[in-house]
Amino acid sequence: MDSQSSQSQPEPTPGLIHPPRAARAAPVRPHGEEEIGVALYQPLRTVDVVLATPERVAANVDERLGLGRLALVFLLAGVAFTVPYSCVLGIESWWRLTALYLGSTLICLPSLYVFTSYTGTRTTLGQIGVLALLIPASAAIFTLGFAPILEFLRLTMEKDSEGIGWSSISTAMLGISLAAGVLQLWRCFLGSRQQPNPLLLGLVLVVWHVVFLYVFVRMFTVLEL
Amino acid sequence: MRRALLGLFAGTAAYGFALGSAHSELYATRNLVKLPLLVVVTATICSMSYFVAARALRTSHTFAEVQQHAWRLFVDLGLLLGSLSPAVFFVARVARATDDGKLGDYDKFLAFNLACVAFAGTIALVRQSRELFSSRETSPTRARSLVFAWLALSLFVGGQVAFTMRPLFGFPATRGNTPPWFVGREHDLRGAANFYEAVLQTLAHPPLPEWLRGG
Repeated sequence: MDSQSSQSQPEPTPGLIHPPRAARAAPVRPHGEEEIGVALYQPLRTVDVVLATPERVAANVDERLGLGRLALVFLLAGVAFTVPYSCVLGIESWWRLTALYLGSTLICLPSLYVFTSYTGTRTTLGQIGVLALLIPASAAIFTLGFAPILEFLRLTMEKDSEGIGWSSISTAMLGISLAAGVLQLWRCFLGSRQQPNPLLLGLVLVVWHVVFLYVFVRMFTVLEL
Repeated sequence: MRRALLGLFAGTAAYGFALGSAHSELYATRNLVKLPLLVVVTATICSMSYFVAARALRTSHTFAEVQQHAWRLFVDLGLLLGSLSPAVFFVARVARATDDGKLGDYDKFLAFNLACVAFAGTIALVRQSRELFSSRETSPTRARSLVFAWLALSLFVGGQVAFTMRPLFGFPATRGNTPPWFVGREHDLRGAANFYEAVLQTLAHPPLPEWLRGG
């Protein structure tokens, strides 16, 4: 499967930002279309694509290969993997974490695209979309890991104790999940090999994170998490 | 694997028995079940987060392999704690024979046991990270980070499991009572309603109720 996917790779096109400086480093194989397709219906493969291979995702972004499917995988991960944690907070709240992570990202996605384009980095919406969707997808997988822990804490602790209640621990877990998502975006960004002006794009990302964080906090408050 | 699990249950049960001996035979015999249960519940609750941590640290282990490695960490911990149980049993019996019927050496005994668990945990961590490193192409730093993450998760969850499963060894003043098997979210004597508050109170050290103070 892997060999097939690597054989079917198209010629490298202008990447995240021109020109390539990949010559001095070993090439990283991007995810093939078929491989990404498997991740659409196999949850363990989804986890692999989202969490374990940021360099390969970066190669996909650089070569603009399978971006649509990758975005779909990240989108589905951002929706499906948040549901267990949301249900622990209350069955009727099953959608809230999706709104928190995916909603905040989608609200801020246009600004990231416009700012990166404005600064002359020649990125496509697909490239920026895949990069940005790494945040809700990674965060969602972390919340999946935290869901059984939160359920246990909810059963054995008070919600808002005078000292520490499960509500405040839940807030910390959601914060850790967000941090993991942001870290994953940076892993992917730093794994990208075709950046002639990484400082500028890095600066745009840092500033965008401030906006994103503010929107995220407001969303967190509105959703009463 | 079956022998390893048997070792885990035997080791933790022996340690639990020694721990409860500081209070009474009732606590000691109950701990034969409680300590192994504590380990099983903790590992089960954390199983998904162990896997997420492994993938986030980009190790190439499958879900089943992650569970095997994490369980081996607990098996090692159980065996190490089991080997410490004679020493803990001796200290517990001495504390019981010489206590004042109120608080006794509760705080010292608690600190001693925390030190034992920390010591055993560290040794198990070092060994498992070596095994993880040798079994796959995992760098030593990544293997150590992963095992450390597993241990931190286990401590975070296991602390609250232990708090819920109280009493594991009580104050001498409660000797003769028959408390429920698990007191759950009931506040402890210093007012903590969960493990995390208990940790904060250990640092802040608020006064105990009048009837427990010595003198």
